[in-house]
Amino acid sequence: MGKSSLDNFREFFLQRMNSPSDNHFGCLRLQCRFIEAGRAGMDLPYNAQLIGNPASGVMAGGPMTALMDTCCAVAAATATDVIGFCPTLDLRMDHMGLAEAGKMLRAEAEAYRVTRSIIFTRGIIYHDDPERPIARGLVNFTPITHTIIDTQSRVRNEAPPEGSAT
Amino acid sequence: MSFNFLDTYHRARAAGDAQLIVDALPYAGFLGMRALHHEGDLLFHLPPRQSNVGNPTLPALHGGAVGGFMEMAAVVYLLMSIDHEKLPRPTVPKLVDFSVDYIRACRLEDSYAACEIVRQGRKLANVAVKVWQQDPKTPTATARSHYLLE
Repeated sequence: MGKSSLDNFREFFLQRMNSPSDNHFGCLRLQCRFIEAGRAGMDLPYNAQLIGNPASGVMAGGPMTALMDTCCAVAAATATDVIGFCPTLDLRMDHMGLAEAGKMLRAEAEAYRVTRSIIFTRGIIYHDDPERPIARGLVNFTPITHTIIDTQSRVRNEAPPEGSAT
Repeated sequence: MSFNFLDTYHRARAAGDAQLIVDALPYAGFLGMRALHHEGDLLFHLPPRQSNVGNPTLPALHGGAVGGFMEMAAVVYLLMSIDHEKLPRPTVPKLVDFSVDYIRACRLEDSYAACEIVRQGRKLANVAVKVWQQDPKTPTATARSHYLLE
């Protein structure tokens, strides 16, 4: 038996994300911790270039949005039999606590409901204790209809040109 | 607000030049965004940059980069518009919540953001942000957000 689509996707994505690149993942230095069917975990190391408040040294909300969007996108990408990135429909972030300067942000996300037209995902961002998240996110995606996995284990989705980045 | 940033803030307000604030925010520089004073309005410009790409196939900007652009635009817009009568000692607005609709893909081309302060109270502000590329009538993303001002 060959590898499953999920294994192929995991291999492709971990390799792509955890190696240096000039795209947004690479510049943020996002690191993927795990990918399971409909679940993902990622880290965003502290980076002074991402400071949003020069007085406190705390990173801006934007990198947290990028972390949440990416983590939820991987959860959505692996939530159905058709594995591949889906366009983001919308995203909501609630910032319940202040991030601390100098500390890595960790995210975990899951697809909690899949319907024919929407994949609903939710995620948390925390420093040390997942029971005390700094931020929560809800991100909805529109499922793709089919995926092409070529011989190099590359996954590319065949989503229509509309829709968002991830 | 630290002395240096407060100083920048007062210089930006006195000169009516939002770019001074943008230059003082590292994440705004990371994205490459610029303030754009256009016919009396304060807009924001995000030039196309490979470092903001999230989907190399299209290629399209990362949803997080677009969201980050909108949040920073709202923060700078608030700092340039804060009513001193209501808020004599401003701080960098803190993001409370943020909700964005990704209406169409943000291509690797010039993006623009316009903000509207829906309400500014003593503690909180509600800001709406719209992003477009070719035509302001066909936005690529819209957002609403709350910021803590104290």
